[in-house]
This record gives sequence, structure tokens and C-alpha cells, in this order.
Amino acid sequence: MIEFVALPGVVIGLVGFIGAFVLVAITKARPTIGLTVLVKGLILTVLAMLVVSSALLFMSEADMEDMLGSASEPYVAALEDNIDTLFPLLVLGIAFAAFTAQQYEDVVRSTRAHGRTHDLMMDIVDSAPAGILFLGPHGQIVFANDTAREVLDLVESPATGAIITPAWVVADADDAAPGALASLVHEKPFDGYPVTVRWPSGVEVRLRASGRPMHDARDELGGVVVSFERPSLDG
Amino acid sequence: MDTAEIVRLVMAVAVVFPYAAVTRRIHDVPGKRFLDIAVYAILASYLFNVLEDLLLKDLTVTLLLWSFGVAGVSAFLGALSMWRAARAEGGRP
Repeated sequence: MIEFVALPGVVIGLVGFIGAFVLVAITKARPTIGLTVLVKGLILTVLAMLVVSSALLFMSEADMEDMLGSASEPYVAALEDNIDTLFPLLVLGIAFAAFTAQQYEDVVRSTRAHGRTHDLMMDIVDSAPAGILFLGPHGQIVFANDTAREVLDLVESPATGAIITPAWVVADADDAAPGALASLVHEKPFDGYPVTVRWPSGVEVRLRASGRPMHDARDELGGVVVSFERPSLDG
Repeated sequence: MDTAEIVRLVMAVAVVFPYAAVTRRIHDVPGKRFLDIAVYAILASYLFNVLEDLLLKDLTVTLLLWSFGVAGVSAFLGALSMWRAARAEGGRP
């Protein structure tokens, strides 16, 4: 009576585990859904153990153990005793492997999101109608958007990626102290500051620059963000 | 109760809580819920296996075999979810 009621349970289990094993075996590992090669391998191992375990249980309940022959008895007994003991360890292994894959995926997703935000910000800055520069603490141009590059004839060194400054000089409105952009690097914010950029050929570009200092983690002056409107040309 | 059964019971109990804690953190592994059910059914089968000699033998054996049935069906459904998710992710699985 008990066998009649209980036996279908283990048969269903056996068929289910075999079906699951086949399905997982034909599924291609895809780390993007948390199914890495490691997780897949561990799941297959567990399912294989469960197939063997439920087959042994079925044979035991259906009194079919004699089919295996007497020579296999000690091996079957050892398998029955130990196979289930390994199962929880493997399950834990799967859980940790999947967890690690999940963490990795979170990092990748976060990096992609960060990259998209960075690209969007760069597009916005480059599309801005105003020229935007970031000057380092010594007045060197660390960053220039497209408008600034166009107005100031800035080019990027193909070897180092650094921005190469042409042979122009800058002077203030009174044409005093012509020099470099370093004169704009100071702690005090400024707005509408007149700057003349003079090329050796005599061409002059007059800008009205605004700037805001930026501080580093140690609260020291790390540089200045300078913006200016597209100028009128003289000369 | 022999040594193997004691070890089996200890392993089953010792693994439930860390397993539950870890799997709770994994939120988008396909078929996770079905696989969870399968694992818990197998763990239940360990308990029935150990209780077999202590309590109502017929009942515990029946529950033991049916817990394998539940585990098998859940494992299959979990594997099916995994297969479908991998297939939807792109290309043939």
C-alpha cells in the first residue's frame, strides 16, 4: 500500500531530475543572467547526484537492487551513504558562485551606467555654445570642449593625449602683462574678465571669461574652470 | 541512527541558514525560486530519512519519496526557466 502511494513520488523526482539535467546541459552559460560556467557546472553536478540518488532510492523501494549484481553492492552502499552528504556542500557552492556572479554583474552594470553618464556629460559639454576650459594649477589646459578647441586652435597630441597650446599669448584688457593662462588661476572667482588672445600672425581674439576655482581632496587649489562666449574676431 | 545519517542531518541543518541567507541576496538568477523549492525539498527528504527509524516509518518513507518528487518537478521547472532566460538573452541556448 505504502509503495503504491509513495513510489510515484520518487519516479516523478527521477524523471524531473533527468529532465532538469538535460535542460541545464543544453543551456549555454550566460554570465549576464548569473549563469556562469561555474554555476552551470555545479548545478549539473548536483543534478547528476540527484539522478543517481533518486535512481538508487527507486531501486531500493521497488526491490530492484539485485539488478545491479552482488559485485556492485559495496560500491552502491558507499554511494548511498555519501552521495547525499556532498549535496549540501555543492548547493552552498552554487549559491556562493551565483552570488559572486551577481556581484560581478552589479559592478559591470554600474560601470556601464557610469560610462553612459560620462558619455552624456561629454556630449553636453562638447555641444555647449560656450568655450569651456579646465586649467590645471599651473595654468596648463587639462580639458577643452569643442568650442574652446575651435576658438583657441587647440589640438590634442596623438601620442600623449595632452592638449597642445599654440604659440599665442594672452593679455588682459589693458594689454598688460602678456603671458600664459596661468594668470587666470587663482582662488577668487571672476566673471566677465576681459582676455585678449594674440597669435604671432597678429590675429587677436577677445574673450570675456568667467572662472570658478576647483579644490582637490586636500582643499588645495586644483585648477580653475573657465568659460567664455564665442568671440568676435579682429585683425 | 548511523554515522552517515548523523552527518547528513548536521549537513542539512548547517546548510539551510547560510543557503537561505546567500540566496536572498541573489535576485535575478533565472528559476531561482523553483531551484530554492527543490533544495528545500531535498533538505526535507534528509530529515525524513533520519526520522525514518525514529517515527512512523510508513509515513516518513512516503514523505521522503514524495519530497523527491517535489524536488524533481521544481528542479525541472527551475531548469526550464534558466533555459528560457538563456534563450531570450540571445541566440540558441
